[in-house]
Amino acid sequence: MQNTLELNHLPVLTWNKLKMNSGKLTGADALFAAAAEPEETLSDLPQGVSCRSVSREAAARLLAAAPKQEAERVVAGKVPAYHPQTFATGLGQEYDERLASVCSRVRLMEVGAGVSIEEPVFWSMGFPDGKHAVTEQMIHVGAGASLTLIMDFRSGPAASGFAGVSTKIILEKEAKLNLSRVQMLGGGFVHADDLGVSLAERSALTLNQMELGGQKSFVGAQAEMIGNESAFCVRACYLTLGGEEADMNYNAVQRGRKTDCRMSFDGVLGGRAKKTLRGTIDFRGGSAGSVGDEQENVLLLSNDIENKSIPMILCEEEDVEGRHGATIGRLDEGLLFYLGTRGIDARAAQEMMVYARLGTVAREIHGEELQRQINDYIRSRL
Amino acid sequence: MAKQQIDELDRSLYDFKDDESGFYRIEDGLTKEIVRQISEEKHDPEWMCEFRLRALKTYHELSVPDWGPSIDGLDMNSIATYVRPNTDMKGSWEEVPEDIKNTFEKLGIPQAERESLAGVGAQYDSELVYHNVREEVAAQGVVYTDLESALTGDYRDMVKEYFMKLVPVTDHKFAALHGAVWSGGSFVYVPKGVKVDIPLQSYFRLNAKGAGQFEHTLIIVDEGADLHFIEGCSAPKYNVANLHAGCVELYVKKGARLRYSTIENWSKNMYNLNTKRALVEEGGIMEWVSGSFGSHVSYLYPTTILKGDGSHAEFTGITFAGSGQNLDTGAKMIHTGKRTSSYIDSKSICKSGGISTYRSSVVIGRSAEGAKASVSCASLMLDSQSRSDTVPAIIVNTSDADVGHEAKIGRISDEAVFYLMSRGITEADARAMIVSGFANPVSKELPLEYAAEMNNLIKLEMEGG
Repeated sequence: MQNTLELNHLPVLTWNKLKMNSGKLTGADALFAAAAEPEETLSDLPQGVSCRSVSREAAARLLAAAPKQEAERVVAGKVPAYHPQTFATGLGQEYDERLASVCSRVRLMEVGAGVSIEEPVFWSMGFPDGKHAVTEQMIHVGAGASLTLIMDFRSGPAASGFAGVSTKIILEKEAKLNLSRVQMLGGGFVHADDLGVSLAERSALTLNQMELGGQKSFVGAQAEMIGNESAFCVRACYLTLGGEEADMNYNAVQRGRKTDCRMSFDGVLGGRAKKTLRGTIDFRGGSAGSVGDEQENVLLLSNDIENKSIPMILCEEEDVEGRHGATIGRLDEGLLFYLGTRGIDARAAQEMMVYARLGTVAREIHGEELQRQINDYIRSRL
Repeated sequence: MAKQQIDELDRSLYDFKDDESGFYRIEDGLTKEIVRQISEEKHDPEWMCEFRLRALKTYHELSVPDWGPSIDGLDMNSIATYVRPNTDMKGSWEEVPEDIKNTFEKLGIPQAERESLAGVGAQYDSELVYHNVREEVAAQGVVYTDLESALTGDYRDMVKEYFMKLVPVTDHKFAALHGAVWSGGSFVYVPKGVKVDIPLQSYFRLNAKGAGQFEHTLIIVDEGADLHFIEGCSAPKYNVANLHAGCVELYVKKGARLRYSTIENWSKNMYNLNTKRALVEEGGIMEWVSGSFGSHVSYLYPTTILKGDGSHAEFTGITFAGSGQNLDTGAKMIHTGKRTSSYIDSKSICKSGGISTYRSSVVIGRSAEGAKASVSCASLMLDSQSRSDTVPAIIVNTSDADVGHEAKIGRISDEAVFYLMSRGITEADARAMIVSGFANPVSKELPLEYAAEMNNLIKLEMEGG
């Protein structure tokens, strides 16, 4: 097996000199060697929701029954940069296969057809200091069912290690999932978070994602919007400081008619942080009437940062509307001056603006206690 | 609302062919011997011959790009890299051989020169056949000549100093190819403080079947000077691949301004692998205006390096991809100077199975404090057989920068067509009007004659059916 995994591929390549076509997870052999499982805490499950461990074979059978994507085709001179997976994920095939080679079981959460749960379910993963741990989940939301699920990945503040996560989601017809993922790992962690979702007709996934800690983060999400009128909404934020690195890839493949994709990213970069964000809206033939929108706002706090963004729209359907926008810069001088006249110094103003950026996502996450922990975590980092 | 059938561009204006009899044509392929032979034919100084051979070595070492449209249909073993027409360069249209003169007459070049240009260069296959500059412009010290003359004439040291320094042969495989077999092109030098009021134009015509054109354009606009340079190109269509791998190097000195406008209308068997780059010094301004309508495959990304403090660049471009075309176009802006600014405004239209890709990069270097960059790109899909991709990369390495980007993709709005029809305009005219409006930011930047030609092409397109 390869010791360097190529992750987060762009679906269409660009200049190699920019070093944006994919991310690289080095030292994979050591990271995945003797990997344990994180300590899992799951809140009481309401009636109609179950969670159990299943064999890899059973998980594969369930994935095989999910709505299928069409075979990837070579578009006149453009070869997909990655090998298509049976069930596509953001980080991609190499990570998926490596994780499968060390995860003997898959945690399967199922929501029965027609079951609608209002109270959120909390699923917390504690990653041990100095250890390597991996975990793989499947979430299957039955037809017409709905669930709010909050997952967090955490460790001690100064802890280090490897946290490998993979979540595959199947949303049946008219299923709704509001999923939050909050990463609050220690400053020495390498974090890989892979997500893939298959959306059937009129199903919807709302993904609130906060990437707040860790030394190196690789985050990928791919949505296969196969069903007509399916919806994928992403609200993501990241806080990357010091010498930290974040490599992210969000890919919405809009295949069904009248699908709706909204992605917004708010980020803060400071110190010598490096960050790459790939965001793709991919309108496939047959996606008539679909809408895709992607926005990124990046707040730059230091002159030593490296910020890379590549917001792409791929389109082979006439009757669609796609938009993307990005705003990248430091705090507005006028705003700093105004706050200064109100007795708020530059540092306090800066912190205020960081909270404002990250707060847009934090406020979408249920649970006062978790919100308080998120705020404390951000404060400790600033 | 019923969709309207839209036909291909009427290319009969460009598709006539001339007989090659009497022309010198080097054998097909790319070897050291062929490169030496080209060098001999062109009476290169020794350093240039060595340069070509080094470039050829680099060409063989570099890979074909793995990120863009396929160029599998391009076989260098079937391309003649040098075809010399049966004439030397002339300073008067009357002296140009009749058949070649007729070609340029049909393309309207002599007429344009008489009416609206300060000077014209006309390249036919691998060599310039005509070059002239108005006396009053020459009297200001403006040099506008073919690059070969400059290479051995009074400006030889300047050519040696600047030639392929901005686009090194190691840049990519087709820059290396260009370095090995370049031929023709123009050299322009505008002295300090001189403002050339009316444009200069070079027109490149590739007539030979299965041939390549590798012209090199080198322009130096000295401190405080001002120039508008127009480049046009066309070729008749053949059933074998032709290749264009030109190179444009532009030096904009302190406080100078250069506008470089291109109307590219190559035939649809053409692989257009062109490289254009500008270096802008303190307070300088670089403006690109680009219309890409032709070729089978294009890789074209005019690049600006904003080196000088306070320098500024703009790119305004439109790409129209029809049946059988895969046009990968865009721009690159590299900010290294302080308080530099750039603006990209790009439009693309695709139809009848055409593929249009907008590809760009905006790089704000660590030293580019106070840099501002803005990108706006819009794509119009005219049917679902076509494809339009937007691939914009943004790299920012300093906090003291302000970067904005916006892009949108869509079709002609039914509501807009309905509104215009409710005002008594036919559906066909309404659609043509909307597409012309879409292209307006580019056409308004072109000289009137060229804008009219572009709008006519769009109108022709929209009238079919």
